Amino acid sequence: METIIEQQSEKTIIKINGRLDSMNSGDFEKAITPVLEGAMKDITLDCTDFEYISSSGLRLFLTLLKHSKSKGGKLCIKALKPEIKSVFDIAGFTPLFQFE
Amino acid sequence: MGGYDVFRSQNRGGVWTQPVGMPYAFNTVQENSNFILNNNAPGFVASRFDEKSNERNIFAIVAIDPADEITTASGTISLEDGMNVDPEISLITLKNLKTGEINYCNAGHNPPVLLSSGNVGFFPVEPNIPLGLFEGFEYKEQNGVIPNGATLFCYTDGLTEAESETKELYGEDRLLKVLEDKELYTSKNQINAVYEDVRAHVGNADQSDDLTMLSITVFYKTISRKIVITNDLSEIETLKSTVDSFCEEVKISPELSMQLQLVLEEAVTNVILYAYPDKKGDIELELSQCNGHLTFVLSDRGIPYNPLEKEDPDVTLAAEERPIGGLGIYFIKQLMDEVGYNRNDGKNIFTMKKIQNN
Repeated sequence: METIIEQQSEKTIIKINGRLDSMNSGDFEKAITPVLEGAMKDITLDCTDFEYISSSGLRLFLTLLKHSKSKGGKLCIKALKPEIKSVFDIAGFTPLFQFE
Repeated sequence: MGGYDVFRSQNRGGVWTQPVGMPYAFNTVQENSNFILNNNAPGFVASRFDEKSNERNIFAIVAIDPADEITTASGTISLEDGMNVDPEISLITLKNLKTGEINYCNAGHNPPVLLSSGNVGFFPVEPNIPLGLFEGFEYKEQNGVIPNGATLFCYTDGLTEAESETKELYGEDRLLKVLEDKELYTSKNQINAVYEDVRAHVGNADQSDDLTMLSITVFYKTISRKIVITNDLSEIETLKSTVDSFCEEVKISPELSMQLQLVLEEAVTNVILYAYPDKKGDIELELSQCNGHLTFVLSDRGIPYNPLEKEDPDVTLAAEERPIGGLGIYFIKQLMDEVGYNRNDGKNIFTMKKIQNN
């Protein structure tokens, strides 16, 4: 698992590579702490090379969404693979997020 | 746990109770196993608790030639401990679990239904005569094979002779018709479906006879993996590689593989985090596949915890109202065909089943 955070002029881009499971979700949580403590409200999660998510990862996606919404911003999930999207569907997360 | 573990569940007012394991496991030479089915111990190889001696006694398990036993028993109708046997009795000896060969003998019972590879039909039985009618009657023993993954659905005549309000019998054709439904791939589903159907047939009529059903699915060619890990989240890596190699060996599609990764990670993570508060403990996981049936058994010796009692999260809430967490068990319930929890011998045993439709 690898997290790359890039600040663009108007939004934060978080690129997640690999698997986000209960073993490494703690690392991801640490990696996104600056984003949760920062002032930027719009977030894009780049999932081009994202391979797997379980409930511990979804929990952190939800944390990011709540953060962004509370600041009046938008959170967008980019290039999510269909098999991972199906996990969002079961959890009832699909209507909560914007996908592109 | 023995080579054979027998569980009992009762239907009380339309709801099945949690399956309870027999106090003793059942071990036989080379894992060959024997069953007695009779009306007094419906669908359950019984054990009895003697309050005076404080001992448990398994009295209904015998490893013999079925016909000999029935012939000996005819005319006496009692077992060693004085328990009376219902005059109708069928006996099945699983002769060889590697090949599915069985020896069996029937005493006045209806023929069981054999469900195998989509075919549904009656298993051939000599009717013989009900037990206890004539002393010395020679019961005929038969030999047969239960194919890998096939189910033997046994029942008492209270099923086929269940009377409707207009005194119509439920009948064998209707039983076969229900069991032909290919969606009913687990024993539990078969029993439930027949139960619902016979209830619908009976309607408001009084019950005409007692009714017992037993569905046995036999697997004897199995691919299996077993791992023992400790309660440390770094073990998720071991889990992942085990599930990957298992899925590859049994040729599971990539979509299903990912779902199984998810389900097993959620189940194992739960145990890692909560079963052994503040101490080390072992967690066992067994993955097996037989004839398209996937079975995963997760067990630990931690604090008693039934994950199925956890309430499902409300997946329709808005983002702001979503509680964080609580999704893991929900995924398991949604993605598996059957899940069950049992506390036995100081262990939490969580079983997950899924049919592999590649």
